[in-house]
Amino acid sequence: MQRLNSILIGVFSKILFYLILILIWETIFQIGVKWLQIWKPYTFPSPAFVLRSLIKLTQSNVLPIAIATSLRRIMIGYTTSIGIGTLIGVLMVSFKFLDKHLSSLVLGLQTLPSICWLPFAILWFGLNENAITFVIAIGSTFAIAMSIESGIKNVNPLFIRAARTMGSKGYKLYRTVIIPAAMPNIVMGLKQAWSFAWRALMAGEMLTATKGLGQVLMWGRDLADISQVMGVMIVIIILGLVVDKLVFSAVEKNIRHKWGLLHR
Amino acid sequence: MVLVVNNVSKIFKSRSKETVVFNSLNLNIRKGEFLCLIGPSGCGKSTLLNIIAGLEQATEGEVLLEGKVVSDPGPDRIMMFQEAALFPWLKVIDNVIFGLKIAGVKKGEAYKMAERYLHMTHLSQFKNAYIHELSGGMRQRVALARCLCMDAEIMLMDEPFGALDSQTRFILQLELQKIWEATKKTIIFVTHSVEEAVLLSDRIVLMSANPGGIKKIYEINLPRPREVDSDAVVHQMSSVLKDLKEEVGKVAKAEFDTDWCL
Repeated sequence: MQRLNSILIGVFSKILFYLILILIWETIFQIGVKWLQIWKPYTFPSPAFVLRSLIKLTQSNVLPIAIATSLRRIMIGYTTSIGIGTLIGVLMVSFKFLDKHLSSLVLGLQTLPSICWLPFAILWFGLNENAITFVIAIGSTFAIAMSIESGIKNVNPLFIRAARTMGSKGYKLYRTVIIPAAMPNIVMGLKQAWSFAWRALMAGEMLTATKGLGQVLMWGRDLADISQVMGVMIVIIILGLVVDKLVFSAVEKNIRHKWGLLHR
Repeated sequence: MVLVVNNVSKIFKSRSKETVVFNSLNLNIRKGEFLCLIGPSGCGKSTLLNIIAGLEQATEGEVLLEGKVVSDPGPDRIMMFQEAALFPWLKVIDNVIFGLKIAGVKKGEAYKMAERYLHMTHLSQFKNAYIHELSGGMRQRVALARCLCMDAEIMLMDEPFGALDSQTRFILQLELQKIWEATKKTIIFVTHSVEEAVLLSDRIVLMSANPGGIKKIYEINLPRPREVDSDAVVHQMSSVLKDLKEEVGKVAKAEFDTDWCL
């Protein structure tokens, strides 16, 4: 009963927060656009316009298709990057030579915005899905590789010593001790990589795609429909939050609970 | 002799100098005995224990376990550390069966064994807790249960009670004595505390520092259970303490300012 109450209070305070935010937005719109007329209506949308535009996009089935397309792309790109990133990370940990030289290069590559790879992607794969997948994957691979590397390196050596005296070695040592011990770090990396992947996806879709959220956003720009642009932006934010809440926060919470890192 | 330390030397080499931890150290450990290693810090008692465990390599010499040279850590020489070294992602009982699972023991059987040892260390109520939910003393008891569960012939203990408060330590010392008497394991126990050494051991090995080595070995033939305040124990403690003081003084003199004296 108490638990339910606190959940309800949490939901209400969240709704209240967003209502206030929308109210402020509407107020600024009323003052800036309607009353003082310092901004033109096509440069600053009101909440009502954005909502209308979202409804319209949903009814015409444009938005659901765009969401499905974008999610499919990011899943493919992100999964690829997990595979490749893990491989690079493990290679860096396993070979001193690679660790010494490759890790700084990987760090450099991570700072490079992934959209810089788009010209290559188009040349190598053509103007198609593969080009976007490539841009997504390359955007998040290095974050995963770095987190795997630092996660494994930061494992408490005492854990490894204890495990070794209990007869754990080689692959078993990795599976039973090193990977679980590195998990908090790895999850952080996966989360960061997810946000990199989203950004790469949007950039890729805005520049090349014929479907997807980024394309709908660009389409709004071409039609000078700022409400549509804003609407798509909001959808992107909501999707990001939902994935974080359902996947990463859940996993993180589980780890924190076990490790006793958080008592909330 | 279950364990023979044969002419073992450990030398740490850095670019500028060589540090000799100990040179040509010899020690025979009897089956089923409780042996304590004491000595001033830096005398290499933990290093010796690590070499016996196989976690560190001797620069020269060898450790023989029932005639076979020790080169790797193995479940026949289980080790307990000053920190509990438990895995925070596992529940208490899964921590205890960790080694058994590695050894390929079936889960049901492993759980049964774990429950026996958790009962022995009075942790049955906490078998499904996570490590962070336990106090320091309870964690060390889990570590003890985990060691016992491996059923190794030899238990290596590196100041296992060193980080605990004195009441908890007292209780755990009693428990360990009981368990040792019940199981008759061979225990090599590193400690800073002379009291602990006299209370627990059959033999005390006093190690010296700079150069490291064995200074003296005491046979403790006192009846058990031993009380801290019994005359015989106090007498034994004072004689060990006198020799230890000399060694500690030597180390301190080398480390502190030259006019320091004890």
